[in-house]
Amino acid sequence: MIADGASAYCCVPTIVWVKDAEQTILIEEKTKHSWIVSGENAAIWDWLTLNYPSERIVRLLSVLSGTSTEEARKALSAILQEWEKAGIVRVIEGNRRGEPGDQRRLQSGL
Amino acid sequence: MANLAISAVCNQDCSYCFTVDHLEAGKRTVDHTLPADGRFLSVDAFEARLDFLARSDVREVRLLGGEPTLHPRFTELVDRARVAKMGVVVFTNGLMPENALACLEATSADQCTVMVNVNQPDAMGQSSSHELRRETIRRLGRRALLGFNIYRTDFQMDFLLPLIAETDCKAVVRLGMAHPCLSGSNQYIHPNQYRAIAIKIVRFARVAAKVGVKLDFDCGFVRCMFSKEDFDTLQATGANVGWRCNPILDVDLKGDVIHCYPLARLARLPLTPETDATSLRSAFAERTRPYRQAGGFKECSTCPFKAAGECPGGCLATTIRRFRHTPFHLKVAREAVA
Repeated sequence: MIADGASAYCCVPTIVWVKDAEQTILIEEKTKHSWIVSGENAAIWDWLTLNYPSERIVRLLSVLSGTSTEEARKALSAILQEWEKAGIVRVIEGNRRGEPGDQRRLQSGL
Repeated sequence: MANLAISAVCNQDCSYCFTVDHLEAGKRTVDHTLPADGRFLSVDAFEARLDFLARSDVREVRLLGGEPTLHPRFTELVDRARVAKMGVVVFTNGLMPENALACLEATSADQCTVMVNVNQPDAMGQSSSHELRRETIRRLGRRALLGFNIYRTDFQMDFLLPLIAETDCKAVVRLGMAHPCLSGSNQYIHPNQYRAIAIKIVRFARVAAKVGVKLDFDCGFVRCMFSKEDFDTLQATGANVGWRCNPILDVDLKGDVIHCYPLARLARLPLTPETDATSLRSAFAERTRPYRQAGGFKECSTCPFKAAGECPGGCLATTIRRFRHTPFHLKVAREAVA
């Protein structure tokens, strides 16, 4: 369940992606806008698509980047906001400001 | 180059056929209870297609289907193309009505090429039709050019050489590799199988060259499926080797234009009195551009052949089928977000 003080992100439905040898390519299918993601960001995208919980992603990112958990948490947050601005991910309706939101959907993992 | 679909019906049911996403299932087999309007291109619409080719500076009419020779007015369409002083290319499975065969037989070889797609005699119930096809090819003689589609790894092409010798058709084999339509509902070759196929192609090219038969590669092959030694061998045999994936432009019965049959679901553009092949190709190139950053293999985006523009990374339908959407959800603490 989403605790108070939490936000939930999901993948924009029109985003498709492919993992290549050294990069991940994301395409917005309607506008045909594309992004090349590599390095730590590509790893984060991988973990997101595996539906890892945020704490696990933060721990893995901390190990990968050799930074503290807190710095990794901030880095994750920053990239999510960047991707939200780009239209790659979006905040699930009702969770942007802590409104009662889509909790049942999240609990069921849909 | 642009292909005109004139028939939605076919008298074969090849498992690798990449028209399955485009031709409605009920129209793929001959069903004479259906009205002809939906199954065959009208003569008026054909004239409009000829206008499109003329304003696109294309001097060749390429007829395909389904099986184009099943069009009830096939001979009239060929005559109209000849009146328009256009060369005619027909993509057929070789099992054509007598009037269509007689019409093509009466057309000079320098104005007409009949690309006869031939399956292995033991495949898909082909043994009975193989004799009919052989007779068609024999009558077409130098107008006929054999095409062979590879859709499984245990293929054999050796039967093509005596067929060419017996029928006196062109001493060329147009080699295709079965690619997936976007739905993946046809039988096709997976990129992991390319290398195994390449070895057999090179072996056949050597044998074919000894009797003066050359290979001509259709679209979708990739450079890396052949080793340097393989590539040198192919060149030594005179094979027309190519690594292509461009908008061919197939104009369907409804007047819509598609990139090619495998990509029929990706986009369709209407054929209007103003459009020409160049503008349509540009539009398709723009729509497919982001996908072309990738290729059929995960290594394609860092491949030197691709970077140099030598190889596009294979069939775009294969590439697009690598892309997926993943509906993930992630909870993060808001204080981290802020």
